[in-house]
Amino acid sequence: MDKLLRVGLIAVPLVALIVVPAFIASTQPRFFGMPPIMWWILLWLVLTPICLLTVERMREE
Amino acid sequence: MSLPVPMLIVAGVVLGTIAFALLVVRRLGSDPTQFILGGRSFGAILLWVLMGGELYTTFTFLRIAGWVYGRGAEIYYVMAVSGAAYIVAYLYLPRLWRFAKERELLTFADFFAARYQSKVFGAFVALLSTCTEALALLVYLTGLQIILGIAGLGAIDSAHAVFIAFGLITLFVFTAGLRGMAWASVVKDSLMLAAVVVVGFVLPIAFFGSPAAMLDRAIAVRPHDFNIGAWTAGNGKLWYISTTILNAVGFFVGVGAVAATYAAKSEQTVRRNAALLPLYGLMIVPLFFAGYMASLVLPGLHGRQSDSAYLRVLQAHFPLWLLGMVCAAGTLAGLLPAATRLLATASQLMKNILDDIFGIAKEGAAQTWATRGFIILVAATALCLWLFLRASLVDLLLFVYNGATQFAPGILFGLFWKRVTLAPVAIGLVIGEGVAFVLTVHRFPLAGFNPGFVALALNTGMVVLLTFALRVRLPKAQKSDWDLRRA
Repeated sequence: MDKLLRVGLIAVPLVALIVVPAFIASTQPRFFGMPPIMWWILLWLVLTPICLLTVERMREE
Repeated sequence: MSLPVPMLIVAGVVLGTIAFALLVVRRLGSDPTQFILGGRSFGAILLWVLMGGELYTTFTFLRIAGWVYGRGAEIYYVMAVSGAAYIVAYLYLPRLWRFAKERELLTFADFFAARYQSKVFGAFVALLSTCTEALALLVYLTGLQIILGIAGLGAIDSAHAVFIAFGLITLFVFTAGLRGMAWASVVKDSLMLAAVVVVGFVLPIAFFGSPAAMLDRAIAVRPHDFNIGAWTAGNGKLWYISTTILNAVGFFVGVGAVAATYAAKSEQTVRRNAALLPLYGLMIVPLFFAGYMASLVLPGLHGRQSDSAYLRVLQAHFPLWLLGMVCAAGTLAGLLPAATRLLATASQLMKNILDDIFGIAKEGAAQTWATRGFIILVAATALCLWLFLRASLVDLLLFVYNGATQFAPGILFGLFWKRVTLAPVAIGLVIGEGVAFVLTVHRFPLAGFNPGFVALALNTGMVVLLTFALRVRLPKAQKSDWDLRRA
């Protein structure tokens, strides 16, 4: 289960950054003026370290 | 002749940074590991700026805003790569560090020589990667020329300024090695942070009231530039996805990035840095703002001119000292990553050609001085190529990244797949480089795929196919060596 979670924590940000933006490039919905593709990637630039540090913590345990 | 204010500031910042780094480093000694890898002792901060330095170059500083200025949403791949590349790095850099530490590897090509047990292959990789790195240096020099041209306000020949700046930084790396580069990069990254805040937030606020209002205006004026084209269109969905994958996989397989990894003091440092570095990608966002702002304030620029659009806005509407500070950050962003690559390239020419093949400069001071000699040689060659041939090198420059990423299968399979051997990797590499070159130069339509990605896929497929076809049985000794490495 732990291993599956670790794989997920690495795979989800990869898919979120590599695949998803190609499908959400449009002008709406906006967040602080930013188009979807911009805020989506921005969000995942913040979430990715959290995911990787969680994997790191699980690995150490 | 008196220098314009921005150029004076650029000169002062570059000289001040060099002086600061030299003061911190003091005496370096003649140990090649100290000179080339900083004694494998870099902690979190120095490793952070070296690994992050790959992200903040003149390309980032000029090209991203230039692309935003004139292209569609496909250029958001740059932002995505700044996160995805570190996820990939998190998966393999710790293992690469361990492999290098156990065998006391010095250079990028050392990995290939050690893993595939062939010094000749190591020398081949050293020569091939030197070619791609030399071309990358030309890209940096071209970026520097744009920045120094703006800082000179048209009063100074920018080619001469590039010549002097690159000469200075070459002497600096000659003296201070990787440790000096790392300390200078601390200054560079601090300045870059200040510069991107100015161009990404201060400029939009000055013209539109806020970045959000500026984006509203940009979306109203050019709504189509926020869409990505159909799957197989020129810069469509397939192009976006394949380019992001190519860049994420290839981001850390360059000679400079691998040298930075070897320089870490522990595997833990490499892991933690790779995990946290996506936060560094946030610094790219203001450059997108700068590009949109420039397209609204100063429309109508084309080609290379669009790369310097926001600097032109700064030049026309803001005090010259501010332009000088931003140009100084851009200049360091060109010089320091170039110098790191210069050092890494020179060290592998010393180690993998001079030492491994010709048996010259076997150890100690001789290796350090041979590396210094190659630093001068590679820098002089790059400058001459740039001065005399830059106009005819455009197609070759497009090949830089596509060519450099072809080393990825050799490193990744080498670290994770014990069955892979020399022949499949060597054949895959030659095919990958050849295909990347032909596809990039001739610009064949590839149903929307990035040419470098197609070459990388062929390269990878060839390695897998040949490895299964040859069905190599590992000798017992090599098996136990592998198990030890995985432990």
